[in-house]
Amino acid sequence: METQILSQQQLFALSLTAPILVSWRTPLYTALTTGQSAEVGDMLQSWWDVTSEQGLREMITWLEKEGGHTVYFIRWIRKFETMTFMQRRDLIAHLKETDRDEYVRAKLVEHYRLDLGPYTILAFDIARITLLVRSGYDMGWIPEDEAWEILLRQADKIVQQRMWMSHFDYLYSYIVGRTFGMRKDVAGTLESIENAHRLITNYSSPWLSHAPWPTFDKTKSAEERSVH
Amino acid sequence: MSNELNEIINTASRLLTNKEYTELDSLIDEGVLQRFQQAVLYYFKCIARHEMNSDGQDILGYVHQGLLLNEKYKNLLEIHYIYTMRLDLPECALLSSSRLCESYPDNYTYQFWYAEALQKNGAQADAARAFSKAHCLISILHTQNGDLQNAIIEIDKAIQFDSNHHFAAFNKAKILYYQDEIESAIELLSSLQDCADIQVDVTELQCKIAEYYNDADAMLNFSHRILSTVPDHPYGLRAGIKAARLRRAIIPLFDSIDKVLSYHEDDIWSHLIRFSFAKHLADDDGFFLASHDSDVLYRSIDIFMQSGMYDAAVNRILAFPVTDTRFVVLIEKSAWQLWRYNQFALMKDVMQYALQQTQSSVAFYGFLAESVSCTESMGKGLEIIQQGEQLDPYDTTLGYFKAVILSALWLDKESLPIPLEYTDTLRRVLMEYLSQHPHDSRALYALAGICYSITDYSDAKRYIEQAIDDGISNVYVYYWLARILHKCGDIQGALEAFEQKFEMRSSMSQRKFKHYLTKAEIFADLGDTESLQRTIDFIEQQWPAQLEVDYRQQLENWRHLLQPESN
Repeated sequence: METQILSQQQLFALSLTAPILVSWRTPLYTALTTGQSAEVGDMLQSWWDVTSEQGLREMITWLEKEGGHTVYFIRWIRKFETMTFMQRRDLIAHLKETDRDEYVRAKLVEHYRLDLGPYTILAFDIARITLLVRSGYDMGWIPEDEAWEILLRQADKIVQQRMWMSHFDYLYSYIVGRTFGMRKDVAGTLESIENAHRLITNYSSPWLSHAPWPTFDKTKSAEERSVH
Repeated sequence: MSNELNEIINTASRLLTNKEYTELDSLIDEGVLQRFQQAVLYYFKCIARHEMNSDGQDILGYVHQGLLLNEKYKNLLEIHYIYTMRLDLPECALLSSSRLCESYPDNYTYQFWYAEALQKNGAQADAARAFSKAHCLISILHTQNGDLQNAIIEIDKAIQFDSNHHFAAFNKAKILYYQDEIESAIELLSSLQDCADIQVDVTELQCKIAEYYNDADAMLNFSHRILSTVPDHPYGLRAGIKAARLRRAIIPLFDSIDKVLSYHEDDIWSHLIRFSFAKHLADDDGFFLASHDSDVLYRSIDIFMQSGMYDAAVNRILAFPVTDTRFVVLIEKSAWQLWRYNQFALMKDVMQYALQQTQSSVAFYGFLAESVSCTESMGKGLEIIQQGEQLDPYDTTLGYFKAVILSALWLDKESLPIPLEYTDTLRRVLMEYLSQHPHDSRALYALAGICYSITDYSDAKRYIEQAIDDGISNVYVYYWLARILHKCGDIQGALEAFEQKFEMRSSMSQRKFKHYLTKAEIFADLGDTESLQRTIDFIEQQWPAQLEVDYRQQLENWRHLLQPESN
């Protein structure tokens, strides 16, 4: 591929993969390729059970249309909306004894639902879509134009719907999503945080070096609101 | 779904489509079916009768038979409800609709059915509550789909049906908040404040609204109210951090982060916010007021260490007033942290600086010795230990690092065994230290080395395996694991330790050499001449000079072993 200068929007779209790529050896955020071409095939197979172009496309479509784990997260929220605080606690305590996976999920939903806002854990799905698209490009299954089209669609969605207001919020949604999706225990959660925090603290992070969070035309930012 | 069940459903569905009702009926009698499979067939039988416009009582008969096999089978319960209502049997309809609601509490259709059944049974008040709940469920769906306008319409219907429906009113307040109609939300929430069953949720939303307005005082007020009822409430706790952030007040901020993490050690938001604040502090970007106050310096060092910003931490240590009574404690605490994070060069800088400032702590010599031992040489480290011993030979920290350095020296260069007169003392010091820090992998590793040096291989094995479990990062540890396992007679384990764990690094040529020698020794013990030959060839090819000097005789012995095979 010919080296080209990418637009700010393209760089932003590429950087949406960062929460996953941050734990890789040499992540690349300035080109469509993941920079891990040799390992991408193995990764797709072991992480996703994807071994063909069709499988990859189906996975991307599923994540885009149905929303992967977000659907289950919202299902739990819906369940909780009709329960009192004590009923929710009782249910979680009961699940702790009877169903470990559901316990982890219910506990996470209760713990974060108010703070995460309406887009809950969607960042986990978006990060995975962008990784799959870039991997598909590396495998020669998705042509460059189409790959950009899907990537930019994710970026546009975030901007148009003002899903998150900062990298911090995006990362927060991603880590909660990952913990929810993979039903991580305490150690697993801490490991995810440990891996990802460099993205918001280290100047070599793509988020701090060249792909800032887009500035939205906020109709009512927190700063603009007066204390009632 | 099991393949068998899938097959039954496909067959039944095909027969139904082809209107082959008799064959469908006979399916139930065929073979040995499980209870649920039979119930499924009764469902198809009911549908067939329904298509044939059979008598409702007849259909209900099949429904009952199916429900006897599986009382919670949703499809049969639905048919039961529909036909009991048609046949004007509301008491029976109540049974199926309530069972459906029980199994699917967030399904608004079932809730409506239940409400209608109640109504037909004359239970008007209960029916109103059920209708209210159904509208509330629809409203929740609209809210989640972003359709707030219809969400409000439905929630108003819910309130019309049951003016005491606190959930409905609370959900309305939530929708108003999402719609930015904050004043109306506040008003509604105030009217719900005394409803005991939703009090926590009401206060939580009030707190969220205070956050919306950046009103730190109100946030703290609501947060206290939540925490007085539920001390570990995640949002109530986080509100403390958020309020401190609004006030840019560092110490309360540190306290509130610590408080959240003391209840929820994996609270993702609090960890991330701590990293974010560490960055503000490190950048000294003016976000925080009075960031050079000594209390702030003292507290911020922890936050830098935990965020991996070691340089920033050391800068604050060097800026901390020597006259402050906490100076020695701070230095010792920081030295341990830097040591645990393997920041030996920075640890050396800090300890050299600290010893220039004060010599009131003999432990400082221990820390300096360890940092020098890791960055320069273990010999120099031991010299510093001796300087410390002149001041106080019984200092615990000094004794600990002496043990660590001596055992590391032994583990690294077997040719320099630990003097026998030290081994008992070192073992005791390390055991004492481990009783306080049972998961310190480096101490475990050191203890394994000492045990090995006195040929106590079973303890050596125990400690080195614990060290590995506790995450020691030194790759050389696997070389030692293999050696220890070999001595314990676990040849296979030793080989596995080599093959699976020991990472070959070009910078570790000397270790690699030793690794292959031990491997050859194991193959010789095993009598695996083929592998022995291959290993010797490799050693000769890679390290000809080494063999000339020290190991020629050993190699000759092995070749002798190979002789009869080659003949």
